[in-house]
Amino acid sequence: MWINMGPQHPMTHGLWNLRVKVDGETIVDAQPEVGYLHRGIEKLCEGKTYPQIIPLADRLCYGSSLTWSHLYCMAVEDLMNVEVPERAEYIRVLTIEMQRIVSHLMWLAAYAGDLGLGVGFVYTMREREVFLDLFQALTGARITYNFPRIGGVAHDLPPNFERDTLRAISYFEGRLKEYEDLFEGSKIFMMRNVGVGILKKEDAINMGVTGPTLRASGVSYDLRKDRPYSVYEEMNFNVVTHKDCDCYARYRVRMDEMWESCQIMKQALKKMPKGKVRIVSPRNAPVGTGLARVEDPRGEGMMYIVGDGTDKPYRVKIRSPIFVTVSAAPKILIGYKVADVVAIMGGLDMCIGETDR
Amino acid sequence: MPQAKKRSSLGLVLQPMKRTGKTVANSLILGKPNTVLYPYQKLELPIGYRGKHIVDFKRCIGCSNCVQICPNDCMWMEKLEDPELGKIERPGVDYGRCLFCGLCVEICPTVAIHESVEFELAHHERSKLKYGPKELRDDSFAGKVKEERQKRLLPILDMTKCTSCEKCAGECPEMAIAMMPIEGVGKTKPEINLGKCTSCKKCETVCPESALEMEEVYESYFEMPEPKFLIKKCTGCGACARACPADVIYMMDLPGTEKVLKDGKKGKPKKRAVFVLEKCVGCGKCYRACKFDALEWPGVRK
Repeated sequence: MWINMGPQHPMTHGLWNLRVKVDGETIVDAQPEVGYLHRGIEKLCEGKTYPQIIPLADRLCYGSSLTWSHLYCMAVEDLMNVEVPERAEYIRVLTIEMQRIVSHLMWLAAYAGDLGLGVGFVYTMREREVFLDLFQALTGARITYNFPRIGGVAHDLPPNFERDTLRAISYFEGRLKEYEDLFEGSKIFMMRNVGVGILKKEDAINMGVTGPTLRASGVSYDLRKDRPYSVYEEMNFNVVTHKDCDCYARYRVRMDEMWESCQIMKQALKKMPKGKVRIVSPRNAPVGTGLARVEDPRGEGMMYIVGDGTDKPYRVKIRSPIFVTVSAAPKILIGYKVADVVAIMGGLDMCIGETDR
Repeated sequence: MPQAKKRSSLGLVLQPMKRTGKTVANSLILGKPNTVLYPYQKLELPIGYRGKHIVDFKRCIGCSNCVQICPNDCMWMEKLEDPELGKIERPGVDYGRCLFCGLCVEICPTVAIHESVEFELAHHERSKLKYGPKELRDDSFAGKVKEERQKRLLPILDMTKCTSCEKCAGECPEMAIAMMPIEGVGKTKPEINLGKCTSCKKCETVCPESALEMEEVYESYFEMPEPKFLIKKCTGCGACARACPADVIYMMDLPGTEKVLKDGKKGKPKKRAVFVLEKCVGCGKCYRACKFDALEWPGVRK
């Protein structure tokens, strides 16, 4: 029997449909269906000038909007051969890592809510608020920031931002330890996670899965380390991996990644040089192509832009990490019970905005 | 991340209780509650918050750059009659469509538009979300808000006074001024190399006709296009000069083109447009006003 889990289902977190074929309680087949949230962003980009696309790239994923606008700016800088000032690169790294924490916290909140841990939802959303307030002071908005620019960032850090960020980090590091008690002390949470949704290393590589899901399968692959962009070469951090390959491993990898992000933010604040944060960006791109890849909180994001000498791009191609990850869903789901679908699909950190675009 | 300490079973019970007690004591007994009574109390918003726009009518020159950069086409220019400023064009915003991205604020060449911390814009009717220029007007915000952009002193030429004496070019210590011939007019005009100019004011003092005057120009992070002029197609109608909001276009007589009238007298000569591009804001109004394709706008895909 086929069951439609979605498009309106508490598990989906966005508009998408997961069709599962069940034999009693056991899943024997699964089909993810996406396309309910298609907005044609790639086509929309072709009618807009280069600066106008930055707010649009923010709307690809409201969970981690800054990563996407940063990725777009990096691709355009590659196309236009623009050198970004060093201070701007440090501010970018600082904000991307803050965005990674915010994104992972939102995932953790949704995941805790899915698995019946209402306290976890409230706690994680509370800590997310601290970082959203910092973003509000820095960029002027809470979710869609429109902060990176072609050739730097929109403006310099506001007064007292460094002090507030360090305070927020030390507060958050204490809270992270509390989460361990909260989540791993909960018997229900552990029972629904450990040994559920195993994605083997070979399968993960073959399906093209990236990000925390791949690292939870024991593959040490992180673009920040393997192909450093921006100033990640200067930063000292570990690539978090876990060899358990199950939902618990994915939870663990994301928790440890938040810790590593805190360390990167501290280093970025410490090493940040003084100087300009923005240069004059060209209006027209040359005839050619630009490519950029970043480590999104959900996996590897890529943008490919073709310029035709005018002030608008000829083509913008977006590679979404979750579009690829969700194709591995049948591989993970088969053999488990219907009740495990929530834990498995929640653990992949779905974001439909960037998947359908 | 360092692993949490392993605790005994008693510690596992007591540790969360201790934390809960701490939280309760902090929020209920020692501190104030985490929430505010919204309509009566409000959270303090940071200065950089992007809310409703405010427009300084005296600073705004009506160039429509904000309308052109808007990704959602939610702004428009409205023609107004102001007792103080005369016939003007000022922007309005449709908050039913506005993204609050702040690009209009960034591109404004005179920093005349700003986003305030006002965020209560909800309304029962959609038509009420359209805010015309009069509702956005606030002529006193300059100085109150933090200005991110830097000003720069630049010598701006008044073409009507210039006699092409070339003194400014000779005296410039940075060799930033070059005398460029104006085709057809038989005169030259100084063109300033913006990369070399150090705002030393030498050219202003040396000019005998006081045609060069130092003016404060805001630095822009956007590279704006400049109109390309084709003299063969120009009829001298002056539509571009009337459309220009920054007064960078001068209509100059072309000597030797006067028609001889029946009574032997000479008529009016033909004219051509001359551009003083140091102050150009790149809005493209001249390009759109020209009906004879005498102006080209480089690199725009329609």
